[in-house]
Amino acid sequence: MKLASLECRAFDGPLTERLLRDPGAFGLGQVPRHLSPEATTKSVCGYCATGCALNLHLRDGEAVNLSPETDYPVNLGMACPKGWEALAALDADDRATTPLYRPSRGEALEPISWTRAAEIFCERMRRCLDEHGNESAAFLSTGQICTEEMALLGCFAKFGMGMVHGDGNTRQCMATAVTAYKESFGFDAPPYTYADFEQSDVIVLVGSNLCITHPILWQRILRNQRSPEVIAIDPRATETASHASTHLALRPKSDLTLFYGIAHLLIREGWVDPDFVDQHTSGYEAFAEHVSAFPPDQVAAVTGLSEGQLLGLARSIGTKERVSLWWTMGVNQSHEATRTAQAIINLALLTGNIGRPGTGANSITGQCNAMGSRLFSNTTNLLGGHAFENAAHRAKVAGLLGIHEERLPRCKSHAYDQIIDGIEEGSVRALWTIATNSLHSWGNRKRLRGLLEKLEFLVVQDMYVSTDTARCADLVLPAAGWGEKDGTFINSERRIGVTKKVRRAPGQALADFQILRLLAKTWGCGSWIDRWDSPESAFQILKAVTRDQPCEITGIDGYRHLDDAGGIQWPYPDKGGPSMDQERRLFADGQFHTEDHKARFIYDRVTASPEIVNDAYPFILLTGRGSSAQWHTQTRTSKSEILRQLHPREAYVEMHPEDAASLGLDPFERVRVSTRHGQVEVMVIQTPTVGRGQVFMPMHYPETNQITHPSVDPHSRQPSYKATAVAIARNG
Amino acid sequence: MNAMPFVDELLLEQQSLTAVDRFSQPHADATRPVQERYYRDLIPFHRPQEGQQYSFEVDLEACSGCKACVSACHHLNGLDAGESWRDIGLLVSDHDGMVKQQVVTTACHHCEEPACAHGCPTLAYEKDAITGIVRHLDDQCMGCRYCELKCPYQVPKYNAALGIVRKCDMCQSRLANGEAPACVQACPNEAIRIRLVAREETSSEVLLPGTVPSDYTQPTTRFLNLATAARPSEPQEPHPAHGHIPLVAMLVLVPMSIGMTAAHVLADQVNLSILIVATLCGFLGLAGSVLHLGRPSQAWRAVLGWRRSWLSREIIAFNLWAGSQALYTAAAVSQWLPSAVRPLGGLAVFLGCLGLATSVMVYADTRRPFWQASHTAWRFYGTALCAALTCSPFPWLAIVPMVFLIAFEAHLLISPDDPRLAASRQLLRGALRPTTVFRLMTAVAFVGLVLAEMPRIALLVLVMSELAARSLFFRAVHEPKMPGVAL
Repeated sequence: MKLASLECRAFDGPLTERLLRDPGAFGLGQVPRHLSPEATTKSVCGYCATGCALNLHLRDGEAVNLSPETDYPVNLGMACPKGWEALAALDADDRATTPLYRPSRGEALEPISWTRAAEIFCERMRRCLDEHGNESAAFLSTGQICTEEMALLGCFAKFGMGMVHGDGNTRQCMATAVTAYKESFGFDAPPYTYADFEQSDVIVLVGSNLCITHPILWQRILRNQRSPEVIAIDPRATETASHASTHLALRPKSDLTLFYGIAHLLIREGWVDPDFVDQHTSGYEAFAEHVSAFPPDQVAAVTGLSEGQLLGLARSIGTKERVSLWWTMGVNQSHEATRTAQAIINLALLTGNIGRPGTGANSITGQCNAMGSRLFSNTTNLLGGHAFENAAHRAKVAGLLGIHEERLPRCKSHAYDQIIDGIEEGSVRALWTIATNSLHSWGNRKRLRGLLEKLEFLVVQDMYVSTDTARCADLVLPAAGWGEKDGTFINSERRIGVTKKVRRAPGQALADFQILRLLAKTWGCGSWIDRWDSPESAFQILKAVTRDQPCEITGIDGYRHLDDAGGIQWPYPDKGGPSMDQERRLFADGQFHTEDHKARFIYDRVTASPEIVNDAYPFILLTGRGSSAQWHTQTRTSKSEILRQLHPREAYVEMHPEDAASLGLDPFERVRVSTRHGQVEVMVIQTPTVGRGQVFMPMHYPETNQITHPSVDPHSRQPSYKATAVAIARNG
Repeated sequence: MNAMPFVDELLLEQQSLTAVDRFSQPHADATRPVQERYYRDLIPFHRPQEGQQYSFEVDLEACSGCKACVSACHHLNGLDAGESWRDIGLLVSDHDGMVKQQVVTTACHHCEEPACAHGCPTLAYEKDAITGIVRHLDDQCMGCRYCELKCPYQVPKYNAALGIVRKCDMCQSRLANGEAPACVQACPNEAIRIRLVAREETSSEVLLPGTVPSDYTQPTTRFLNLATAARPSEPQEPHPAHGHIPLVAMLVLVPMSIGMTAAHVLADQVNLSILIVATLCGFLGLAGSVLHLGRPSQAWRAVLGWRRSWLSREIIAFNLWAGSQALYTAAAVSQWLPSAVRPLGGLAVFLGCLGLATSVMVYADTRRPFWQASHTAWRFYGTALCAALTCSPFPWLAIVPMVFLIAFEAHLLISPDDPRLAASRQLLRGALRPTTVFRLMTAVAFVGLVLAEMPRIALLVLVMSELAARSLFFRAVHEPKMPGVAL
């Protein structure tokens, strides 16, 4: 009987074969038989600034699958789900496959040839610049394209076309950190290496939901063998707060007061490192005087924390040997963001927690190449971390590029919000957006939609034709995506890594680098552009530009060197340095990039949030990452069926159950969320992870930025997305 | 002027892939998986010994909720679009002023008493004698999806393109080669491990808050460090379950066929056309149930599981019933061998009733309270009895079973004594209210029509009413599940 039943059971067959695994070569272990690779190559992921390397499984040179790279010093064989799904974004039906042109407003976009597209671009941009001046056309770029591409964009637009203004969506994530570091350290130099997570005794995470925004960095914390105390400072009981040793649930936007209060306690308790402060900082006395006005009882009243909690935090920061302080968007997107970031830097300076293993005042970056943008986008800074205002810098860069010095603007670009305002005022008449969906990601969307329609000429260069911004475009330039082009990214810890072309772009889509070459050639920029004939040639030019800068990378040979080395952190000068190790931090010698080589204590008075909570708008709206499976506006992550299963499909607002009860809301009811800037309808999710009087909306859904507060930090001009007064009401 | 050739050059360059030529091949000479260094301690050194098996162990405190395991399972196993054997859920606790989130990653629990395997009519599940891994034999599956009803943890997943169910095999070929399963390899936080557990080891009462008692299947997964007072965060609102239209039709048409046939057997004077309608009805119901299979051509395999599977027994019983029903109908119509007609009819009705008993057990065996045997027997036999009496010489007798059914269903709606039925009650009164109302109104109409001596119209109304009742039977069942996420 048993034998008979066995014979009737199909242990093998065509369906079983579909899931068979075979030993993969190249150290992969078993892989699906039908995806077994003929070769592998590593490439840095194109989502976030963690900068993980992915190991692409190639057949006939083309990627068919991927797994995280085992040896890369960033991710140590792991990846978050976005990395695993990186190829999924390339296969979408709504990829832009041919240039599109709208001959006049109200008509549909029509396919045109690349030649025609380049001619139209040049004709209309030139006409605008000629008729209305160099400030009448601007570009809005991104932290999602390669360094070489953003450099070519910045050089072509400013030195070739003669534009003065261009900015990037990096304004929305990293501008605060840039400004804070430049003022405090004399250069935009995040001092850390990821190994610091593994070497700290105390890890303070401020406004950072690391567990889901940077899962691989949380992995590095878990590898720490020193039993670190992890302190999460966040109004919400986030995933990170849930896993931290201590969660300090401060009131929204009370962070600046908190850090001045902690500085007060450090000084009062004698937990300051006097030698470090004396030898390596300036402005201590005035700073001490400033924070004397922040006694714990007052700080407790403002932050909602107890005096015991304040003292506990001060003790951890002041008495442990290795303390690292890390911040992300909770700090950067605020009305007084720059001073808050500097208040964190000040704590590291006070306690000498900088330049040693496991220390630092460390900004964790958002986009995969925000750091590349900071140095090479040629927007706020002149190429290579130089200054447009500095004549010597202009001469140096012009000389190295082979451009007449007069072509270089003498001022930095307007920031994103100023470019948008320029459209309203009529000074900006043509706009070119590259790999960013402003209509979704910029606050106060309704106003922006109206402004885009007001433009004389809107060019959108993107992978997809379906983004909100692309739908408004006069000219769409179809771009290849991550995985379809070569170049480099710079990650949060200053590591330059190579990203590679392992897929063929659909239709006539071209890499941004090639689109820029085509436009530059059509424009007629002169012979200097000929040297930018490939991403790697561009990299060699950028290398030369960094000479004698804090970010010098003249010691890097080229892409193969970067690839074999597992990425290389700047600085990496050809003359060598105190350390050329694979993982390096800055300021071990206590020498900063200011004129006196000392770090500066920078502080300011605490200002009230421009958003007033009152009876009409009784709740504070916080925004942030919803899940590790979602990236920004979901333009790419929404293409993956796997990622779509890992988060709510529609927009929602999280609210404390008791607040929901007081409004008589049912679970998962649709509610109207209104602010002074607009209103939307979303589902309510009741959860005790948000505090009373607060609500939370993830940024990924188009609804969110219809109602966020449009103001910016005065120093960094980064938008303040994190605290908006809202009212919640039953729908209908 | 020269833009055209330049564009062509760019387009050509865009389509050329050169990474292999330009960069070194990493790990060209590796003989073992290079990831091994990260997972060596996460899998057992030895194969399971006598009395042991492999199991998943998930540390809820270590899991940070990155969900990489879900996509790693998809990619490292070469699954179809959107397919992964791992799912994610969220627990939230609010205890002593400490609010905490815990993300739950869950796959197959490779149960000691795998309900999927016990229920599978085709023996498409194999619990490995050495490893304890519950493996699905894809080529053996006929796509009946009964395992989805049997598993209380939503593990078997139907692949509509292939017409079969597929599931986690704990990457058994990897384990056999000393490699970790995909999810274990991919977890940045070492939150998922493979452990050896003693078989027969008493498992905890429930796997996680909100899941069914573990004594049903004895799942082997262990979740460590569950927070105090943790509860699932997802909607508590129950959702209507799958409608299973072919099964609704079958479970109305077949009992009615049996009932009408019984009436025909017991009362010789009844019109032959009733019998023919009964037979056609029953066969239509059965055909629908075969055609709803993902791979109807494999339906013959369904007899293999008769030792444990109530679905296999049901399929055998109804095949026998169909045969005897066909013979009886043929004999009654042709009047060939008149003396055999009645015994054949009796046999058909007997086998039909036996088949209905197996149907009752098919659903009772899922351990869903709404489908408990005593309730389900009422429903299925009630249908048969109503049909039988309506077609009998005394149609008014049919009001007896129908009044009982109405009372039973009204009782479920109004005064439930079983808290486990609360979700079903909520659905019947909420999301499924129109169907509930339709069912009760048509049931009352049926009673009226029978009393008005209009049996034929009553029979038609009965069909509609019972279809509604059976639809509610499927849609109002509360499906046990693992904690999920609000989608």
